Amino acid sequence: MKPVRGSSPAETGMALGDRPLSMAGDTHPDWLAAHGQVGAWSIVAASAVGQMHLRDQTPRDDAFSVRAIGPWLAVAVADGAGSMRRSRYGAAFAVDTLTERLLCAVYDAAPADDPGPTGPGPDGPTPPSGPGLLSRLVQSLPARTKVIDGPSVVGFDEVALREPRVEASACWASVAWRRPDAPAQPAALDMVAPSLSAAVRSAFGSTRAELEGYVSRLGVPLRDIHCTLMCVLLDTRTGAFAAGHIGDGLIAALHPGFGARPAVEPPSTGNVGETYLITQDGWERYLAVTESSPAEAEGISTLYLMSDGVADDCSHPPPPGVFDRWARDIDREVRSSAGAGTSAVRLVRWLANYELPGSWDDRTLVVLAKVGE
Amino acid sequence: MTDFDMNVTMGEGVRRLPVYLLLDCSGSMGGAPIESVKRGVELFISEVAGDTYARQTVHVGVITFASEAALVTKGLVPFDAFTMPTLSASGTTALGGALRLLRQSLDSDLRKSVPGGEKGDWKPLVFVLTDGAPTDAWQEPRQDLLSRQSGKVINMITVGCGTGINEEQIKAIAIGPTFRMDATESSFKTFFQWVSQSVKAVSKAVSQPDAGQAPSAMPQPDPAVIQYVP
Repeated sequence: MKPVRGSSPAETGMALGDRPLSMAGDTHPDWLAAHGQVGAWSIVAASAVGQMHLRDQTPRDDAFSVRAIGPWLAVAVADGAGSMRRSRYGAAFAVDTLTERLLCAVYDAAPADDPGPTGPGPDGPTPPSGPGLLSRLVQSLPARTKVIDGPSVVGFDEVALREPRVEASACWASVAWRRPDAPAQPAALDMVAPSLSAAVRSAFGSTRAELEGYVSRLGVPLRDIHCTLMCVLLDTRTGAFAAGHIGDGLIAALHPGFGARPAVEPPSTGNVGETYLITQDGWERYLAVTESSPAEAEGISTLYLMSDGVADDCSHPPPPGVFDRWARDIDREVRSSAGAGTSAVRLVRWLANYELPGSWDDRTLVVLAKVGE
Repeated sequence: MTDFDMNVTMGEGVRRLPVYLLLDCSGSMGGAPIESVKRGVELFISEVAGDTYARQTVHVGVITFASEAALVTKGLVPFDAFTMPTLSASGTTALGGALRLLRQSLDSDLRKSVPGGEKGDWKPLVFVLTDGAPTDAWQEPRQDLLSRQSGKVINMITVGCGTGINEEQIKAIAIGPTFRMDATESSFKTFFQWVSQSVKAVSKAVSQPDAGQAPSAMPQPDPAVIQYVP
């Protein structure tokens, strides 16, 4: 996968992934893929409804969100408690809120309509414009991006996703571009929080408070939207990152020389299916937060955030060292495509289709790969 | 391979749910009770076999105890390889020996999580069924298990059956919730149905909230047949 030129970090602002579910009703999709790039880091993300949910005709409960402002990249994954009917509401709201709050913690936002001191203006640079701009962007899309074809899993068969034409009519999407050389974020982009880990802790606290307001508006108790929550806050200029995690799933980092390891290890109940939750009493006790050292940040090539539906499938030998092999394989596969868009489609197709004994939960995987500028 | 396939190494193992059955085969279980237990184990096999998810994750260990205790499955066996053990009733009630074997199996057969690496097995479910007072020393092996239990490493449920049960003593021996029932065939059937339902429910629990001591997905037994001993 080649880096996309012309998207320097200071010009990027984007939001990808699951949308919060509103009072209007359930818009949570069963399969979702997303991609993007911030500076030297490419984002490939996908989430697929689990086979048990397909059998029981229940919704996907996982959710993910990716949000970037300037060089800062915030990614969150949540898994709604399968036992709770509205848990996907909690998961989708939590990831959206957490990524927003993470970015609030690292930059001092100027008003949205304030172009800032370096923005386009009478004396500023002239932004590209005219009818040719968008067509040039469209032409730059990966030419081989197709939709899912020939899946084997029962859920895809049920919705008749067998041919590209049918699949295209069965999916919906936003496709977004930013002007490649328009400075979108002139505001200060320096850390406001005392550290990355402090920003993560603060954002988790804010998110929990927002979840309480959310259920109040929905008119349901907090337990109805029980969910786990994990995140990474990454400075794409340096590779420095902090990770926060409560509940099951996994955040991991790959260092090509030293291998793949969990980036943060939150407490676990050990009981099947039981997990700690951002929505439970005393959630702070179960939140684990770590921050990379400068040396770690320098060498890490890839970061992974995954729900337990993926983590449990790559953590149990044989073969020996299965997790490291899995992480390197994913890294290679994500980088081998013509672009992040193709990688995202491949990823969601793979997540939806691979079969393993004991694997029936929703699967969500977000890969952040350093690809260079 | 098409353009959209991915070549990724996957774990061949599953995160196992160990299920231990500690079955009293002392002389007092002779006759109808041990026959009921046999039918109960058969029921457990047929019930779990019908559940795809449980079959893939459940691994079974059976420990019988009479004058001696024995791990008749020789360790934890995958459910699909689990066959009806030979059960007969005679002798005394070496429950202490059974607890000791359980501890040994937990130490040797369970896959432990590796910090920074692979995850271990799920926390085991242990069902103990006995109809009388132990005849061997049970305090020390129980204490050994308790030291593991301080780390919440197992979920143990003890059920006393029949009229010979001393509720105070069975509470003193038990680690975790304690129940009692009579020794009729229908009660044994209800017990093994409950075991089967628990195993099936727990094996496919998905992201349950933390429930404290016991798996939150476990159903409660029929109180008309199996009563909780407070």
